[in-house]
Amino acid sequence: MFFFEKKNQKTFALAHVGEVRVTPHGYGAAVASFLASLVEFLEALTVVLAVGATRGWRSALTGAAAAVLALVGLLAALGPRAALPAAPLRLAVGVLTLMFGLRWLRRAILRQAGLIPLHDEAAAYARARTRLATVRATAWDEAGIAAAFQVVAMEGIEVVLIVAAIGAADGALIPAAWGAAAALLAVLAAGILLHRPITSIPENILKLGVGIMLCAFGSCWAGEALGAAWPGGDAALPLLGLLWAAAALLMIRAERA
Amino acid sequence: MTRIIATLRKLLGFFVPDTMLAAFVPGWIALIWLATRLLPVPPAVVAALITLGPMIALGASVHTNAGKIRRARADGR
Repeated sequence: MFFFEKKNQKTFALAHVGEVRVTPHGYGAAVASFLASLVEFLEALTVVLAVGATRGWRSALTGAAAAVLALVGLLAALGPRAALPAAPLRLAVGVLTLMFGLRWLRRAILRQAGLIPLHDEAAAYARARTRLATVRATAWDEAGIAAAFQVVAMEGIEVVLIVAAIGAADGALIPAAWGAAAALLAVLAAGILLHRPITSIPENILKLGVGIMLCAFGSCWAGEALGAAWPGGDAALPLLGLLWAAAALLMIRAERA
Repeated sequence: MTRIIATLRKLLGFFVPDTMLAAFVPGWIALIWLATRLLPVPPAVVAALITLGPMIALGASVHTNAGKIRRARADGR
């Protein structure tokens, strides 16, 4: 169900699911988008929960809903990208994805090497609660609404950019969007059920994995746009992932020493 | 050997400091694009350049950052 292509188009197809083809790019885009969005949504959930616990659920939900509306407006304003020529679009997307990936990967490597603190949702939750508890409550709780709005808008924009970057090449937007939607549903369900920050997910390892995937996608797409010939053809994407993973592990090891 | 690696690391760290990492990628891609327009660059070489360039830049950036953090820690900051 992930990636729909007409049979007469040039494809990277591996398998058929009913009348549609599922491609490695489609699967990869969905997984990368799911994991990247999961990390962003978890961070947003932590702050929204802190706002709900300290300032009340009306403020938390109002701020979050306002941010979601703003994001929908942003998406509508950006409009369809279909009019852009394919080759420059693929190159731009490759460069953008590679830049995103390098940023994620750099921080993840520094974290895993013990040079900057690991991201801790419990600590982030405690910090947000302390900060919000010191602000005096008013009839219209600006502090609570603003905190929920800010975090949902910021993380949401990152998700939109990631989905656009991952999904733009080879028409993988639908699987990328499905990945992000699944992550949102998973985080929402966990938040409603648990009512506390989700600390059991290995977020720091996820961030490393997402950085590796984004770098692999970015280099693959930018390379294709510039006419690169990847060894192994369709198998190049997972191989690129392995190469980036090996490089990241080497860097972690080198900086730990 | 260790000294050579250390020197290479220092050089790369100098040329690709952390703040330049984001600017490096578009610049590097533009250079490869230009090279493919001006010279008969084999597609396999393009693939290698497009992967190894950002990888080396990332390594340099990580190393530069790590050095800064270590120095800050040593200074008690």
